[in-house]
Amino acid sequence: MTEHQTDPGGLRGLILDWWDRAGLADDLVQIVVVVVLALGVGMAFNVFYIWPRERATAATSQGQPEATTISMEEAYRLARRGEALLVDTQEPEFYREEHIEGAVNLPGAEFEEYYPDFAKRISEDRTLILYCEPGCMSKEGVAQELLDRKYQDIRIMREGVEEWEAVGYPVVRGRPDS
Amino acid sequence: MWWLGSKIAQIIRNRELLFVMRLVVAGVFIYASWEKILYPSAFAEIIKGYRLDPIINDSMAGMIAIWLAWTELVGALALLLGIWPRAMGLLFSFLMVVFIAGLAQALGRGIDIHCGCYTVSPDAAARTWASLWQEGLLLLGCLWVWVGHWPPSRRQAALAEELPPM
Repeated sequence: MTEHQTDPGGLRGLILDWWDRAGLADDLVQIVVVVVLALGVGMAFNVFYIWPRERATAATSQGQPEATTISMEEAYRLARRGEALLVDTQEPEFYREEHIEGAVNLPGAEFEEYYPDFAKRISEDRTLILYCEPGCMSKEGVAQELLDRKYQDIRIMREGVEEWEAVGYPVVRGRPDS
Repeated sequence: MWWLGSKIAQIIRNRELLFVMRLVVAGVFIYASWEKILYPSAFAEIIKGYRLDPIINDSMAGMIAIWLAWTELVGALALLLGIWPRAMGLLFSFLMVVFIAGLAQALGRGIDIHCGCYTVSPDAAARTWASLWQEGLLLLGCLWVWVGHWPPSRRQAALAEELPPM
């Protein structure tokens, strides 16, 4: 560690003294080493283990019923004709705050609690369009749970309420539809 | 007031407490990294959920998922073994600030978000403002590890050796 000749009263001196004492120069070098090492090991692990495993899983799951994706426009068209039911998989408080008009709530985090009532009202041959937020994972989890419970036609919409509303499709704020 | 600062400094520098704190922080990050390492695609989806476009777009999310998970593991192992603990304390403090800022911006925008902090399970409960205390607590632990490993100031060193301060 280097020692700086500092004016004890000067701000620059204080900063340089702190920089030395905290050892930031050494720390930054060590952090870079760890970060680069992590990236290298991580990439190697994924190339030789994770990605081959994912490809194998995808190959073995072929032929089993699985959820398909659906565009927002197609979802709107089907829901409007009554040919599909929109299912909001967000937590109830988010659903109550805002959701797509006509959507029912089946939250991924409270699936077991909500499912019995859902199963009573929605038949297994119904086309279901699941959504939450872009990137939100609960729709995938709920889709798998529903497929495991013999629901056959599950579709996943990547867009959320915000995108739905942005193109002028109807949303509901502050009250449940179900 | 100086005696209060001195007392806090003493506690932060206490070797036994610092050792325990190092193990706790390392343990939390090893646990947190595990599922992310095994399920990088699911973790990438969670990163996309933060909606940080254009800073982090969809194609970058996969790479960031791998890098972040492994940085947590490698950094935590270094901390556990006592390798560069001060640098690892700084690294984890920085990561925690970024996590908290990312969560806060998502919550502020009303996004139903799964932070991906400890699990990539789709069934995990969404985060709320009230649950941010967990990240805050971990940030304090990381800062403790970082600051606790600073070398003593000239005044503290002088006092420790019973020499007149410079």
